[in-house]
Amino acid sequence: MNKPLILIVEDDAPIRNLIAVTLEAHDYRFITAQNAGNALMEATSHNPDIMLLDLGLPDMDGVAVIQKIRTWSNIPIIVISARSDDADKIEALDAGADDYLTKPFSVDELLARLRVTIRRLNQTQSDNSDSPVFTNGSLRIDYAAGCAWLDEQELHLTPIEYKLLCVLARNCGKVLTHKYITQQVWGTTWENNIASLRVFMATLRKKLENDPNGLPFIQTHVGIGYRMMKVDHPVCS
Amino acid sequence: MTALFVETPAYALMSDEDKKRLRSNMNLAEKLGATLETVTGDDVPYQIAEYARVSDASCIVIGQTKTVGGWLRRKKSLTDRLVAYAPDLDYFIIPDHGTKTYVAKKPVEGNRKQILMDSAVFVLSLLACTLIGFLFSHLGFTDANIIMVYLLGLLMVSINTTHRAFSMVWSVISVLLFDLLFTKPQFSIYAYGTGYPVTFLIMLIAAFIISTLAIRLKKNARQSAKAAQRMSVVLETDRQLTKAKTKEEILSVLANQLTQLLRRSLVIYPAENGHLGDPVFYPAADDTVPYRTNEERQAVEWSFSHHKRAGATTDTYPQAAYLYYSLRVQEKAYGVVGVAVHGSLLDASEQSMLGSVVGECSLALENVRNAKEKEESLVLAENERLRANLLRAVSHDLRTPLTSIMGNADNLLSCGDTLDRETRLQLYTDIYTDAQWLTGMVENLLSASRMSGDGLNLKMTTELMDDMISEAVQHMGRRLDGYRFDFRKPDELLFVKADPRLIVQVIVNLLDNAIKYTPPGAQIAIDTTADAAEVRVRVSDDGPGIPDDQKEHIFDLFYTSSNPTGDSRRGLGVGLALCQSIIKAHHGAISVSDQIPHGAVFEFTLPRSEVNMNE
Repeated sequence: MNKPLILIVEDDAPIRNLIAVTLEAHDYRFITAQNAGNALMEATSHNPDIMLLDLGLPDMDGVAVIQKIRTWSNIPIIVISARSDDADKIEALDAGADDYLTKPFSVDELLARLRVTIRRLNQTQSDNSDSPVFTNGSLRIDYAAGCAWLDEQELHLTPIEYKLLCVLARNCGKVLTHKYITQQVWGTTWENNIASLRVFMATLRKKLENDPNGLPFIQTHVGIGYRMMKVDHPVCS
Repeated sequence: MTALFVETPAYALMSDEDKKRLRSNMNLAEKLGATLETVTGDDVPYQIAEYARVSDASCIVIGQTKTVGGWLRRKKSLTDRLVAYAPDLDYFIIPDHGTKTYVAKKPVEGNRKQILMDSAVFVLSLLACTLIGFLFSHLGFTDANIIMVYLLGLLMVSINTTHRAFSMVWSVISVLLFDLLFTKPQFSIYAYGTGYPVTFLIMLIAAFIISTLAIRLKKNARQSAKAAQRMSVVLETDRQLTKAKTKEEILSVLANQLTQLLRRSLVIYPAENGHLGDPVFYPAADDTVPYRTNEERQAVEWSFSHHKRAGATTDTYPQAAYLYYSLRVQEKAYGVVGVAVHGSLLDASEQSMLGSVVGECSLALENVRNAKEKEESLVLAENERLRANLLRAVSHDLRTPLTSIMGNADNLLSCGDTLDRETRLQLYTDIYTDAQWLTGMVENLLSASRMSGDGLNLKMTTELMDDMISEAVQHMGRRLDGYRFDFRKPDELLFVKADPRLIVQVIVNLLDNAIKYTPPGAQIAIDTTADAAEVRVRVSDDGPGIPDDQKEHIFDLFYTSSNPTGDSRRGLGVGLALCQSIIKAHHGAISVSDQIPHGAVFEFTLPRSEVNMNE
């Protein structure tokens, strides 16, 4: 794949500059927009690969921008939020954003998020998304057979754990909110389910990460949700 | 459930040991949840029966007492007499000796048997008196003695029968019998003695007066039992009201007591900010009188705005089905309570009781409101003080890093080319670390702002302790580089109920603190342990540790260990104070101790949370 094109949507000039300089220094291609109107225009005309979206835009609510874009595009969106409150991030993620950054963020954090997203882009392009088998590093899920293997060893999962694993795998690389996951697994979002989710996720993670030096498959985002990470060095299959 | 003690005149003569036993019995009853009642009277079973009747008791549990009668008169046992007084109740009689508890249910067909018994008493007494009369006349005693015997019999009958008719009939029959049997000529209603008509008349009058007095005596006993019950409702209301802490609790006490007292439908309109809120309806078992009609509403509004009674049985809106009382203290109204008055009217004692319960509740409502207002103003004042302190400290302490950032950036802008590479690098590093410090400061202030007030802003969820620690460690990022950092995950899944952002902030602050006061290369470790109730997190380092005299102040707001002039930077002692208030708001504890051989250990606990699994 070619170098991805990144659309920066940020109304604050110094921050826009900071992101632009960072991206330039690391050889990314980018375009910028300072408000939602511009952003939507740029998105349609240049068809960027990744969007960095500030939630506090002057002309439109960031969540509304995500909803607009989601009507016609699956482009990965990383939202940037200045508020430390989790509510707006959760709202953005539920609206269809893939990941988030909280101001003040470090350059390292920004680059890390971009790397994760690009890795995922590569994956979805090389994979057939309808493939009945999902592979991520040493993890393999056969949707048709309803089984999962780690290092060619079959994993013994409870039905809920398997369901959880599938939800995460189908959205590999995306931050999924508690609400979304419980909705997918239980069909409801009771508070009690969200608490049970913690338990199932912890046991699932134990089964997946029995090698303490291995890379973690599942990332916890406290107060927000979980994400399955795309692990490098895929096993040749 | 009520435990009843009948205080007889014999109580004063009771031995100390008996009194002690009585006290311990009363304590036991109270512990088991009964309310204690005391009535005064001579006849124990009678008092029990009367109390049971007026308080609508449905069941009496009593110990079977062994009858210790004199050898002349065989006294009936207490329980037997009790059953005689109140035949239509359920009795659970527990025998004094032996372990077997049997249930004796004695449904006695009430009135007919009572009348039969009374008649028996009547006939027997009459017979006895007549026999004694014959004995006296045989012994040659005067007529006056015989009259006395009949009057004595009358007294017995009036006390021992339930209906006044018995006494009345006795009065007439005894006069007739006296006339027939003891005056000359015998067996004729004529009497030779000229004084006899007067004797008969006086005898009749005396009989009537005695029976009236005896009946009044009985009535009094009943009334005092009723008064005791009424007192007990008022006292019970009082007791419950002192326990009630909120408006809702008070209103529910009011509803409970009134339904218990009156057995009528109730409707309560609480007042919210000077307006009537939505009514709460407490239907009585058998009837539900509609309360949402227009008429009712008008009566309620009138009662609320005029602070007076309205509705049924009053002059205002008498066509309403409810009688409305305003819950008020002077001119402040706290709501309106309505009592259904259809069918039977409230009697005087019910009304007075209703009035006193309503009054008590109004006072309680006012107290709650006053206490709340006072508390609010106190909290407000305290918050104001803290905020002012914080603002002062913040604006002072923020200046230092801002000066450094601005100055360094200015230097780099204006003469960056002339500076050598090493100096420039130093300036960049200074800007970065100061900005980092400011970031931490802002995070703390944000957390502090969420902590302000009553802690209602906390977003409590069930969280895995590991997750929060990992998040905090991740947040520290490169700052932990250069330290030997160790986080030992426990094997167990430890869940706590917590606001995750705030707990992460606590761990970040503790790690920050460890870095600040230990030299690079030191060991910093986090480990978690747990018992059944708590999860314990320890953040330890092997730095120089904290002197004992500073330990007690270390959690104070704005306290810093190296702040002699008040101008040292990185000084703002907000971090640990914030940790403490966060942990306290989570019902946990935070403490500091020494690491062996040297170093400091900060340790906090959070209540453990159980998770119900939905499989």
